[in-house]
Amino acid sequence: MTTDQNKEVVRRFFRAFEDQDEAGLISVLSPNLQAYVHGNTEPVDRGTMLQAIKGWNAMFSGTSFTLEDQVAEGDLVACRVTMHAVHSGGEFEGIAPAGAPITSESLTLERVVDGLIVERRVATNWEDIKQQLTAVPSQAHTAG
Amino acid sequence: MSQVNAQIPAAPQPLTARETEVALLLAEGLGSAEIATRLSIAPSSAKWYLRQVFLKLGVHTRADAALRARQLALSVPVNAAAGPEVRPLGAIPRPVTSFIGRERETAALLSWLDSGTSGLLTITGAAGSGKTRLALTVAARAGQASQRQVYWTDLTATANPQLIGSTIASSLGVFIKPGQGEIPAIAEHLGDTPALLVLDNCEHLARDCAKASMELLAGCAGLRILATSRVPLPAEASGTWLLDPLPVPAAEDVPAEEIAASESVRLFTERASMVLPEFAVTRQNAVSVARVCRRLDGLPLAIELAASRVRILTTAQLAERLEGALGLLAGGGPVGAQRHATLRAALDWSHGLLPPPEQALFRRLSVFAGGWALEDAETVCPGGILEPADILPALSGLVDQSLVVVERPSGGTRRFRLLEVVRQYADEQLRAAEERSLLRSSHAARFAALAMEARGELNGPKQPAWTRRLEQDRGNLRAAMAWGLDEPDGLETGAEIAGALSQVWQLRGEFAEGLLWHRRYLASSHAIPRRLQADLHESTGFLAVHAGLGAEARSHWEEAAAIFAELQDPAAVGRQLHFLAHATMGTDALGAAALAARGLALEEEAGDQWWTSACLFALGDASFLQGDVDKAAECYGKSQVLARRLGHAFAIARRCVRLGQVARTRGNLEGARHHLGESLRVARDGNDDWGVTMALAAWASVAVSGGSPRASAMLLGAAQGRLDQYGAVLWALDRSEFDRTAAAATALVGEDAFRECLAAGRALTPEEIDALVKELREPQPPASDAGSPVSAAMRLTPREAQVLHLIAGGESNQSIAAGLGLSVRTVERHISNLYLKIGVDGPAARTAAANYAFRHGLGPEQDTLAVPHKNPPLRR
Repeated sequence: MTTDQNKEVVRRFFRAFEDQDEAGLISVLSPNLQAYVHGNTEPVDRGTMLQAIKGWNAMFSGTSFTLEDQVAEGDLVACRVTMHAVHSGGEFEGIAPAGAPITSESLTLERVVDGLIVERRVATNWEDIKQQLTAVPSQAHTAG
Repeated sequence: MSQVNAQIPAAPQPLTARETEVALLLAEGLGSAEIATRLSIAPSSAKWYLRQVFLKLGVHTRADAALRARQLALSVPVNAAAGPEVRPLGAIPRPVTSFIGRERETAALLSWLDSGTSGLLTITGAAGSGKTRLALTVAARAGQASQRQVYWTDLTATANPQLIGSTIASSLGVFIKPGQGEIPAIAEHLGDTPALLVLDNCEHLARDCAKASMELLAGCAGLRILATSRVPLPAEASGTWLLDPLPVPAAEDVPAEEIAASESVRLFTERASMVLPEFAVTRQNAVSVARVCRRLDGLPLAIELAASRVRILTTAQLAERLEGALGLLAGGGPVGAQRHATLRAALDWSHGLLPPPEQALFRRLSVFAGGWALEDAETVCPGGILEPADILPALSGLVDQSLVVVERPSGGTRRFRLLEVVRQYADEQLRAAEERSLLRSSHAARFAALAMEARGELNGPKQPAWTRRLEQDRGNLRAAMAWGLDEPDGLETGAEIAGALSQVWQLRGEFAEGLLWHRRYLASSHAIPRRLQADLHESTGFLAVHAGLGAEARSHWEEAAAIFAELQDPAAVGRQLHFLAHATMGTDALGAAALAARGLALEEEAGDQWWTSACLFALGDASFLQGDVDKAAECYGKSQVLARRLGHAFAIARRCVRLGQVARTRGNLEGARHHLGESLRVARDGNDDWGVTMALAAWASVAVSGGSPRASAMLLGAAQGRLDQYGAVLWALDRSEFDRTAAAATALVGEDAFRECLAAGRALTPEEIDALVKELREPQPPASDAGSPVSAAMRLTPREAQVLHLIAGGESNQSIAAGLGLSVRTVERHISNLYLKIGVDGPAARTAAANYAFRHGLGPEQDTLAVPHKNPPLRR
């Protein structure tokens, strides 16, 4: 596999995430996936990861990823990715959905072996996201 | 993609022009007899046309037909007979439905405009609470009531914060000069004049919109910015207006009159009567209507969705069913979340009532960014249960259900859109149906086709219409380009769009956006076909050079030339060499000549007349700059023959300019006037701004040579004014001539007068410029007194005239110095001054000066006429 092919595997992951295409996700995620997300030191497995994506898509609609940068070396692919989504479906971290749009930049590092992502690390600023979610005015007052 | 596109037969039968007229009159409420009178046709013909319209619109009653005609896009220009009326960019969209209530809010926002407490105000509130409609009303009233300019920018389709500036600039029609940021360009355009800029749908870009707004306000004293956003803009100096839903009746059992007067009920009534004209609030239905509005929390969008169902459901049924749909909603929680939940439930309910083909169309329409025309939907959306012929009736159904908004057309094609919150909902359905990739792909193909079609039209007479169309579809084109970067299959399509739009970006000065897409495609890790890669390098070079990034442009053209060479496409290589020659001209004329000559050889070999003509032009410039006037003349002459054969007006005008410059340099002012006269005429006729600017600068040189330094300075001012307007600089050859002409005119009239004339020239109207040129075109009247020096020589000092006379006699500087008892250095100074004044330069200057002397009676055999030291010329 060339580094360009590895990059394409990671792109396909983001596209399948956006399209809520579970078969597409399974086609790029290794059954032995170890995903380090949310700053956890312990990895989660593929099943947990698929559940988490499904859960995300139930809470947020219109999720889209823009790959700002993507570099690859050996079996590693690093991405700087901007995510847009709208909090419309369900409660997230105790916050009720109010249609707030969010924009967040993440850094991801994927290890791709034989066309499958075997390891995934993501750094996302969750505090910033929560702040965006609560920016929606919640008091019914009018201020001119 | 194949699934969707595989089954696209012919579009549903379109209405003919006459049927369209009939349908529109029907929409105005006219009967068949009145229609017959209005169109001057027989009543039986009118009835026949009506039957055709009914058939094609798929309706059976007149009321339905009128409704359909009113609500649905007739995809032909509505005022076709009156000629296309071009809506100015940034104009306020005009919804077809009326605005209900909100008098207090409108008045308060209008008074904010004049109070000046804060420059930025955000209307914020839950989705569906009517933020955009309120802003529209404020904008429309502000435009009517005051001198304030009103501009409208919809940011829905702008996902990338880097593109906020160019989106605003484009909606204001601001041209961004090379090297200038978008925000400073907009600020410069607006200045301190009173203006209202509405930024609609900012929530996804709240931070960046706040930043851009603050920068704009800092530079524009008279500006007010009104933003709509679900979240407040995080700016310190920003005011926030929290828009509540419409007031609802206090209870269900208040008097019917009180219920009917409530704003939410008024909205319900108005929308209901659109589908059921006789609908009104009565004693019988008042309680149910009040219940519906109260249950929907007064949210305008939810009320519209409900009201559109009164054709099938009684108000009592409506209230009951909504109760069922909304009953599951948990009360409590923040107000914003409650309203959000109400709207979602109303959307779910409304969507659930749609028949399957309408559901399919609804979710697929979410693929459009910033609206669509009927033909777009007909091309992109069919597939599966949705036949192409179903699109029109399904779209009509969605319009009836208030899920799709129709924009009132003002010339051109009618457009549709989904409110952003509705689009987001439809997009969820699209993803859940696993159709998103498919639809994005056919959407990209549709807009690539549009961009390619536009590319062919942008140099033609339909340019304004096409520029406007591309502007309307800016969001769609961006979405298609973004798709191309995501999906290997879409890469070529996206890259083709980027290439095709280069000229539009260049025309509007949106180099930043153009370069952004080009650089992204070039950096893409997918294998782009080599040819496309070369094309992208070529258009990147084109954008870069216009953006003032010469070095970047050169490296892209070199790269393109290398790839085209590898692909064995010599004509394309020749084209790159031609670009490189122009880019090198200013610093290295010799190198430019070599590049142009190589390009010329390749194009001649390939038999491409257009690029042969272009390379000849470049070689002419390089030769001219090196002082080889004869070679330049030969190149321009040949180049012009080809340009005339091809009938390309831009090229003919520019070659005329060059032939005029050659004639002038050779001292042939008559010839120069002839060529420049044609150049200006052709350039004006072809709306060729650049050609006009070149011609004016060249006329300035003729003016100074012909003894009119003031007119020359004014023409230079006029040319400079045009250049500044575009942030452009003249081509190398014109630039150096401009500088020499300015120096000559200054030498003749003095610095102060020159500056005055230059400034006056900037302010000239096109008519005044034409009058000035016309004077110069008339041959100078013969001098009345044959014994006095002819007018052209009058501005030479006696000593200069004497030196010119001796030059014409073939004397060297040394012998002139010796003959006049001057130092060689002094003679050289006289020579350079007189060269400036008669407008000759370069290695051929001495010959041209001698030529000039003969023409003006200062030659050696004309001694009796030119006795300057005895008969000092008068200064004019």
